[in-house]
Amino acid sequence: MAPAINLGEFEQLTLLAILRLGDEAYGVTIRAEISERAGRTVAPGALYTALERLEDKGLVKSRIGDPTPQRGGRAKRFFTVTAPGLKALARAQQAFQRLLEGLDVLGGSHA
Amino acid sequence: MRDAGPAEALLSLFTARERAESIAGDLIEERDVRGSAWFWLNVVRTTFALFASTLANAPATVCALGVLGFALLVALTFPGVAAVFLFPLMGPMRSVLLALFCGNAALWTGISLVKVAPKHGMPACLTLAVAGEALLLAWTQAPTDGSVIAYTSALFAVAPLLTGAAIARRRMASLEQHHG
Repeated sequence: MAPAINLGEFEQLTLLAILRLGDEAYGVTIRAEISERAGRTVAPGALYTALERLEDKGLVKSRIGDPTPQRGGRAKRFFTVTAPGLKALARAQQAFQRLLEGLDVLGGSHA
Repeated sequence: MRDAGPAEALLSLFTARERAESIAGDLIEERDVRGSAWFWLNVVRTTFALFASTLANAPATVCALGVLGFALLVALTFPGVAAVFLFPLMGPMRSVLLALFCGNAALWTGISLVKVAPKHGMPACLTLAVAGEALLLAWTQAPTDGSVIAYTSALFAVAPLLTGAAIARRRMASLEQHHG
């Protein structure tokens, strides 16, 4: 059995953004989605190294789109979450859920 | 779009060519809104992040390659330096010959490291260059004639070392693209 892959917080945000964006997940839209939904400014370098790491681990896969003139003839690289990626994300989220059980963090009593 | 080529070339030093192409495309897409200064700042920051990521993911490999590079550099430089000291020449000629030997050895060291390890060779060359300069700066706190010559020779070696690695990276990327 393959060892379980632990995900960092930023890796989870990236995977969730890719899932939300569906077929339109590439560098620019992933950064915008994280910024809009999580309220975090993401440096391009941080995102591309995270995507490269996730792809090397087999948690995401990419395909090359068509080159477009507004990108200087450069193609977009679209990302999708793989089955092991979904599994790792679910495992990380379940761990959060179990730790949150019985706490009223989201209700604001600790704010 | 004149900046796109140099930006892509810089990024491709530390990642696969097709990845560099898509990253450059993403940054170009945002340049119209954010401006050229933002574009170049992020090309440099992304290049550094890719270097740091390779170093963080495989520190032992990069350091071992750096040590191998240092050994190769010394081995390639030694005959020339020995010849210069065996046949004493006047001041300026000696410095020019030393710089030539060091530069040539560094160029071949850069090319060899990237050929041995295409992914980790360039980060190893940059690590070797930074570590070498830092050690020499620490060593030349109280400069002597010998240390000044060594420091000058090392400065002449950094540019060819990185140039050699960059040439080898670009050549390999072109071959990848050709075969891909």
